[in-house]
Amino acid sequence: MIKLSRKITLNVNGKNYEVLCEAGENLRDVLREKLGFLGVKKGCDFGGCGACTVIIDDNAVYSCMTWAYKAEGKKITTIEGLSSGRPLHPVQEAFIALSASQCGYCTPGIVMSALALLNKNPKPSFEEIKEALAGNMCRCTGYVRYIKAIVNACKNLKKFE
Amino acid sequence: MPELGYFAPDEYLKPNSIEEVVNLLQRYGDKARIVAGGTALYELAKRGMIPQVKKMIDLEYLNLRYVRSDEEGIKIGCMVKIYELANSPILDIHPYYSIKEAALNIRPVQIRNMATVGGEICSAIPFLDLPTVFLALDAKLRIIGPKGERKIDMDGFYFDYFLTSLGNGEFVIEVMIPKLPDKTGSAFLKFERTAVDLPLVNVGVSLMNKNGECKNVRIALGGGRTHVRIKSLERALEGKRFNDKILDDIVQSLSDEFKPISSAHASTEYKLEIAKILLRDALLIAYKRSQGD
Repeated sequence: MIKLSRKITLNVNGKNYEVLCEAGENLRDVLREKLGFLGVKKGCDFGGCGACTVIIDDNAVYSCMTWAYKAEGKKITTIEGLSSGRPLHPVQEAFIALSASQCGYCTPGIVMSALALLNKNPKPSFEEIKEALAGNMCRCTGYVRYIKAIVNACKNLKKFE
Repeated sequence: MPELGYFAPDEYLKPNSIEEVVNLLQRYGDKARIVAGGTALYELAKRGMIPQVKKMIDLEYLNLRYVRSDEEGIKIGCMVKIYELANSPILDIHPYYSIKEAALNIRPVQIRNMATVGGEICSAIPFLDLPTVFLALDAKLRIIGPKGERKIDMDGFYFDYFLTSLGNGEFVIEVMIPKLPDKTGSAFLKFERTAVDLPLVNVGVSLMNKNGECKNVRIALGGGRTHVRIKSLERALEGKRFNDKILDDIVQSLSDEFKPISSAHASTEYKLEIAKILLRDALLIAYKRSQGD
């Protein structure tokens, strides 16, 4: 049987990458294994844990459930593109300051979810933060520090812009 | 059911016109599958349930991403994402507000950002939320196929788990919710184990309040083998005034009409008890809203 692979152009963190993809491949595998963005984690592989969260066109999505071909022509942001050479992003800084991670596996996903929230709503309420993190699982810390870190990050957002 | 096996499609197609989609669906038949948001398809693929699918047809380039209101009612394109539905100002008016409630309570936000209205309807997974609300609001589906367009009531669209009345080469392009009369109230409630799970059961209700009497009652439930309207209960409530006895009777007779499927999460009996409580609450909320509160 012939397998039709096609070269697609993915815009990741503001840069265009040409990559050979098969129809049934998901975005996470392409980002991790073909383009080397290892900040996109593989967790449950079923759209439940949120470790693979990336931002596509301002919306947080699960990259495991996104077909690679569907992401063609859209703006993809991964954790690697957050500070893009500049000092750390306020969300990252706030996470470090509060040690808001333990094993760290879920952290990139949570930072991306937090960023998608803050981009739309720079002053979220406690409930809104909880809602935004509902799709990210952390089995170590219990979310309290994440939420505190996000509240702290709101205060420093302006300076970064 | 076809045998389980690896999902290995050989082509991902991005048609630009509706005719093209119909042609592709006809040409490839069972070998083709439509990708709307891609979330349900991904789960099926990962579970090895669709090894026969070789062509993926993405509808993203068809311009079916709109929510608009005209003299017929509210029209929702099948490629509208759930978050767009949840943010749409058109659905703020009262009888339609339950659509918004259901959309907002589909969690997590990542799924709201990916999943589409058409996908929720056509994947025919009986636990999803939007079909329940649409059924309770008398929605109609616009279906395009090789023989042209047809419009059907959503009631009767579902045959069984994963099975709809869509024929070869057909696909849904729009959901239409007719204009509901004044003094109509609607409500949607669901019960899930965790905030990000599919619900065990969900209930959608709409009714019109005519001087205290119920008219045009619609009761829809999800969680059985398919989404269903419970017509005997609708008839039992028609023209009645609300009181505790009527509500108790209605809720009790649900046992004969609704059979939730048992799963690892909960038994049929448990789900039925939950459904009764949800139905009672939903009827009360809808009634209250129909008074204009």
